[in-house]
Amino acid sequence: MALPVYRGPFGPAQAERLLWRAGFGPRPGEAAKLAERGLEGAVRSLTRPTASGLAGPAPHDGKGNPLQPREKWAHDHLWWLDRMVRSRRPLVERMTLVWHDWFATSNDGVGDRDLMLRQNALLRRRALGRFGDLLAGVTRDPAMLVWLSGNQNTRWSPNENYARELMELFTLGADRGYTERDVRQQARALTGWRNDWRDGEGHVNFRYDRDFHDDGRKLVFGRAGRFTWRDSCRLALEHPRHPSFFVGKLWSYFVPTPPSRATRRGLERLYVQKHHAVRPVVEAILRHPALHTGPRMVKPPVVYVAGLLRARSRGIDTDAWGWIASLTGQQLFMPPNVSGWDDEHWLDTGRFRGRWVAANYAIGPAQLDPAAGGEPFDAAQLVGRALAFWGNPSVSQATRGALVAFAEAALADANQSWKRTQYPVLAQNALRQLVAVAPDLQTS
Amino acid sequence: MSACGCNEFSRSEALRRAAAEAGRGLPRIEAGMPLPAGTGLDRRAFLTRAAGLALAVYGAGRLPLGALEEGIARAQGSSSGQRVLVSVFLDGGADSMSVLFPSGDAAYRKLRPTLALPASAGQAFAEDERLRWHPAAAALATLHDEGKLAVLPAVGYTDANQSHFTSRHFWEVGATSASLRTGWLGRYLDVVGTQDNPLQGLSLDHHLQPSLAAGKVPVATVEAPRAYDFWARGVWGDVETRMLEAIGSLGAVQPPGDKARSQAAAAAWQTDRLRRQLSGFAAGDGGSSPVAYPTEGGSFPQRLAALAAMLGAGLPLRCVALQAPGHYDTHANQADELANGIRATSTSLLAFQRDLEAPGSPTGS
Repeated sequence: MALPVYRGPFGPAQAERLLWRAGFGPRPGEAAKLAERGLEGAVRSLTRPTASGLAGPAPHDGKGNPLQPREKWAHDHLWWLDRMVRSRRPLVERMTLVWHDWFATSNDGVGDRDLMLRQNALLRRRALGRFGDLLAGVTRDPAMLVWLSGNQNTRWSPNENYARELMELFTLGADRGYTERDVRQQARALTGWRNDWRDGEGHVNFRYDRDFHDDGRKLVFGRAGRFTWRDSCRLALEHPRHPSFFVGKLWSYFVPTPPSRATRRGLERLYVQKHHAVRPVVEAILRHPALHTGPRMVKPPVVYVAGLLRARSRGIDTDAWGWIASLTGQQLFMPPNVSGWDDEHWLDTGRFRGRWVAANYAIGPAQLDPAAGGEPFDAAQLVGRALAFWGNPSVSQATRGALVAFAEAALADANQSWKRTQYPVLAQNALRQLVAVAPDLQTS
Repeated sequence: MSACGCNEFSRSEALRRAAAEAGRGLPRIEAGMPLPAGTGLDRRAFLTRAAGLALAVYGAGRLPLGALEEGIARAQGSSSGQRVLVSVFLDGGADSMSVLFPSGDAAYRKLRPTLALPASAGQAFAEDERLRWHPAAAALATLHDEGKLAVLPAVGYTDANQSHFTSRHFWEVGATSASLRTGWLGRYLDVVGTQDNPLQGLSLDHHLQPSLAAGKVPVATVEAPRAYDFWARGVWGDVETRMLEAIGSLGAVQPPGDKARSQAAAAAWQTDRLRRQLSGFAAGDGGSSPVAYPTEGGSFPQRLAALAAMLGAGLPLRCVALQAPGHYDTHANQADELANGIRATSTSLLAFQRDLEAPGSPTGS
């Protein structure tokens, strides 16, 4: 059975959602332009982009200095955020974020931004390729070797850390078709990676050393052999429970409701048939009716922030995004643990305030001077202009009503002539803030 | 404490703070006086972003502060529907023979020639007509009539210790042991709490309530609510006030069929309520609760209003302890002092109960 494809109207509103789910939101006018391509053309423009590179102003730290992602605190976050804002291949960048969450590695444990950025380049390079290539790359990636003790896993003293997560978090899921014995045997197969430590430099000279590898016979998932790290990855991918884990997890990054049984089966077949290629599965998800007609999804904080900047065609021009990221609950390169961020709880009273601060900074230099006047003394017009400021995102009637009610109340307070000039401007500044934190803009 | 920080406290408050702060213990005022529960716990300042609360965290050991923020966020995600225990300590121990007095008892009138209340004062105690409520405790009588208050009169221990300090210590640790260093709530948290959520045991006071002192898990004291501000560039005056009010309106519609949108709206709604209540807590002006809290009783009613807001915001609290207004160690002028303290405490508790029951409050029933 073929996978279902969304057949409803594909206008700017549908394109807007697609750009948020598969990227970081539209730039001004981008949703309308994408809608003209129709669903299939829109999906392919995201999954098979012809453009490359970055568009827009080069990033700086607010004082005109270039970013130093390897040297300065939070500049790694700023560096990646800049790519999210300026990339001409938003889905590639979004998939890089998906893999960062999937293979969640934190610089808190690695302690080396250079290694973190190398891993980031790997995730981007393999973003839409074969999952097997990505898994092999991650398995021998220096940051991962440090993070999950792969560099301490030797034939004399096997360390199970990576073997356990390889199956639990990366390929199969907890308690799905493997035993503690498999974890131990996989750990033996994964031995051989090592590196040196140099004072002042840190972890250097990552390499595979046959002398450190346990070349004895192992028994994994009931299969026997003198397995190596490559076999270890292959066995996990060939495990009958892997396709269902893979498509279920990948789906959850794009659609908040679980796939139907038929859809899941269809995606699994597609994934296996295409030899574990990621791109066709993503394409099938992006075309699926559940994405286009189903309930909304909370935007991850970094997606929300990048989207605000994209909507304003604004680049990274302050290092404030570094500390704001921690207020919102998502610092890139610093996931809370190896299972990644908790996508169910992006919003609480603390993180809502983080998003408020982010919106305030995103408006930043565009704030209007109340003394200058120039805004209409009309609630509906003020709301319309505030929505236009953010590129006319879709908002619900309830939100529009709350915004108009605010503007009416603010104008009603203007009981002196100077207030009649200034209050519309104050209200416009406030409306831009309120639009950005409305439930509609927190979700897509 | 910085030199200028002292201005926040009157001399007596500063002394009390220094004396009762867990980690240092009380100065020995009498021989054999036990060290309060919590003495010796490590103490660190911590600003939780979940509510902009400046906390003092006790017993977090070497756990990095970032782990506490994560712990709070994680607990906040999973604490819905959990019951919360709030303990209000009446310093000095209220004279229960006055709060619930045996109006017809001859011995009562004989032994309390000046303090005995008139036989018809206050309301009768519904469970036992021989007892009557102190007139100042009318709010408690109301809660009792509604079935929301249980009374355990005449609870004590044998061979009462005559030392104020030792006796108080027994009540705080929940055992007649002078050497115990953990409070009765703290030991409960040691069993059910987590290693990284200090809000699970929250003392709404300048110092750690000894009853909350735990042995294994961190607990916290609110130093001051601050930094929970919502300013926007180029917005001030009347319009700013309207803008802040609008945060709640944006969150008012929470469509049940749309989980993500509801979650985003609920965050706005909770944020609005927490902001209003904490601003009242900080300024002492009452904030804006759905119910009116009494104006007497110092900061106690505001603390309860802020607590209702924290509960409404879904902060992961499990045990909360605070001190009631007034002094109950009444050596002189008991009639007035007790009445004032009991009135302020019970009317505040009634308002707190009404707040939790208010329509629209997520904690309401």
